[in-house]
Amino acid sequence: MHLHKYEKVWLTFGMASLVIFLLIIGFAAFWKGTHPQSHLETIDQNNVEAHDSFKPENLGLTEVADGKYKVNIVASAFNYDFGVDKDEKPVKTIRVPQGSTVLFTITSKDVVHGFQVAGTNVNMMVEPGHISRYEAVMKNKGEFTVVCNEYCGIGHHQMFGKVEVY
Amino acid sequence: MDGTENNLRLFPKKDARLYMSFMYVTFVSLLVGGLMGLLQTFVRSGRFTLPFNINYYTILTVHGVILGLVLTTFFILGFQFALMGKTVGISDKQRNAGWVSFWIMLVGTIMTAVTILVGEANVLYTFYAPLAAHPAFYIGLALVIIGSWVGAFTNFRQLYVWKKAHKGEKSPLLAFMVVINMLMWVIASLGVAIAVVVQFIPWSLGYTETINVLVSRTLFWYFGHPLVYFWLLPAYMAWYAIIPKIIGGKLFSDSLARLAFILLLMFSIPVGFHHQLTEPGIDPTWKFIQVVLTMMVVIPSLMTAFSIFATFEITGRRKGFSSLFGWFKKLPWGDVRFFAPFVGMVAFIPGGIGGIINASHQMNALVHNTIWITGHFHLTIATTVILTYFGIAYWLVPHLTGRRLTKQLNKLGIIQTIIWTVGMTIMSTAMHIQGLLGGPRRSAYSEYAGGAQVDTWIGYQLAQAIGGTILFVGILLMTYIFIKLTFFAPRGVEEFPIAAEDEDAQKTPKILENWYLWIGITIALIAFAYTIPMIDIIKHSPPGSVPFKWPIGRG
Amino acid sequence: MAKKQKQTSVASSAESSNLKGTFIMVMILGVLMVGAWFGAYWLFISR
Repeated sequence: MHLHKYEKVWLTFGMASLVIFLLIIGFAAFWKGTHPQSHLETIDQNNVEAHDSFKPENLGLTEVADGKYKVNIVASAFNYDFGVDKDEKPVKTIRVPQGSTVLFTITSKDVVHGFQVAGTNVNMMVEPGHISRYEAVMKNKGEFTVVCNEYCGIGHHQMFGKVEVY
Repeated sequence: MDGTENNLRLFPKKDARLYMSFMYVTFVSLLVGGLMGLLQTFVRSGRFTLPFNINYYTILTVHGVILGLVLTTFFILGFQFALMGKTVGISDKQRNAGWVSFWIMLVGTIMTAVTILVGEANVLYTFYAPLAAHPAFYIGLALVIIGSWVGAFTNFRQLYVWKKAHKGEKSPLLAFMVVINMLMWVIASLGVAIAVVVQFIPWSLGYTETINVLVSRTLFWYFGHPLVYFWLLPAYMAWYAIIPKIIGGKLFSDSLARLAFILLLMFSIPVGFHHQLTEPGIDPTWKFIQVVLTMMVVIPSLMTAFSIFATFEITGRRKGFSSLFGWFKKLPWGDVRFFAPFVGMVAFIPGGIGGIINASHQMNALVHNTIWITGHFHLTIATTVILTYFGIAYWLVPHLTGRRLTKQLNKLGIIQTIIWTVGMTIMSTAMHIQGLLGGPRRSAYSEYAGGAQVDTWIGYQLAQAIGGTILFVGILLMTYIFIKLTFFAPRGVEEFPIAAEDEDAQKTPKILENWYLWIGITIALIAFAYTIPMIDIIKHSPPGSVPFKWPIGRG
Repeated sequence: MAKKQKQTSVASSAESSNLKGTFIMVMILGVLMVGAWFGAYWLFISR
């Protein structure tokens, strides 16, 4: 089998590019810890309240340290439960200051959902029996729509929330 | 072997009838599925609601299943049967097996389609558990796959019989390619078949109470990525072995074409995790290993790009165009058999590059389940692949019906291709941008919580409706051309353009036909990429899930 | 032996076949690939 000399150059260039891509994302993933969401913790989806993070009083936004927050959410068709506010009304908007570090923890009570804070890198599959977790630094100011981005049934497009970075 | 004479010899009627049957289903699917696509873009524009209480997700499911699974599989089987018939021949017994394959697939298709249309299967074409469709949906899908297996084993048998009669000769290139594609298909579809038969059917019938969601998803995506290569390889067959003939040239390299197909067989299966990168429950190290394997599958496509340009250049230079790009101007732009696949090739540049971005591990979070992905596969499958299929149909259909692609139909084909290019450029570009801005895929029209971000999305959705409308005009025109080529074009002989090898071409190394070796490596790679993570997934399973019917509107 | 001789002669004819245009085309494609990837990577980092 014979390769033309230009084809050799081309394939070398192409493969070298792929190796560079892999080195960059590999370095970021294994040394800097920016793997995609892969939390590996399971839960009984029929009794999510048994888990500390998903007790009704622990849902929604909590400041854990200066500039560090956690947000716990329970997803179900077709709603995100971010807890309730002082007037016992369901929370729909999460407000955090710019530059804060936010740990999102979410699970599903029923079917598969998605959880994306559109316009940020927070983008996770949410599956029954599994806990999804992603920590993000909110670098940019603005209003970001939270969308369920995995089809969960005929009310799928009515499942949303909002994150406000001020 | 100079195949010119064979290229002009029409098939016996009874063979042609089998191959044409697959084409009928293909083009009916195109019309039905395309109409659904049009309606989707209308709904998402926010200016239109579906009549008769039809649910958006019903038409979305029809669109995905009919175009992604039915149109493609029927076209591929019909085209590949024709290639096998042309290159290695078909016996009576094999033809009958071909019919069995066709009917099983058709019954399965009708079962699935009816179940979706009556609203009992609003689960989209990925049918993720624990959303539970009516059992008929899963049984129909299983039949489509089983039918395609009958076709695959018939193809294997066809080449085997030919090889026995032609001891020591290398197999015809196209027959070799068909067998590679069908090998990949059988190995890959085993995954989804196991999911459907072992998990979904008993669970939807109530024989088992719960389903392991992550196992079912992993089995689906074990199949889901090779599925896209199953669509792509027939296009590659045309690019490697048919387009050279149409432009008046020869094969660039028989060996390199075979090598590319072998690499595609080996690396297109152990990569399914790149569709599951943002899932909990899978070890990130194994995700990364499959990302590396995904990059390997890019290599045969890099080779293909070189081969194609080289075929163009060598052909042009042989015709006497010596300037750097003179050969490019002299390609047969007025011949739709070339022009449509050519646009498909061009679309694969952004399509392929987008694919590399999608598969880049943590970077997947940028695009996962956004409408960027929809834009991506409308470039790859709905432009690259489908325009090449159309390019094939322009000569295959008249070859089968004993008619000719007239000048006028050729011109309509060119117009069709231009319409498609314009429509898809608008739609797909709008989808890519909206996706980067976070707009989700697979969603009916929604204003969510409102605000500036959502307003921007809706603007792009309007553009998609415009693109979608143009594309639907293209579909209507293609349907018209198909009907003309099938029933009304003047009688005659349309060439079945198979390119010949150069007389002084290098000998193809024997090792390229060592099936045990390539299948062995393929299975070893799959075992490497999947065994440990699969054991992990099963060992660390949460409680299974009961069927959920109400979220998809089932009583 | 005759076979071997034939192979070298073919190799040299393939080597000399002029594929400059092809090379430029694929390299453009390669640059697009690298450019688009880094563009996406930059977007990922900046979010």
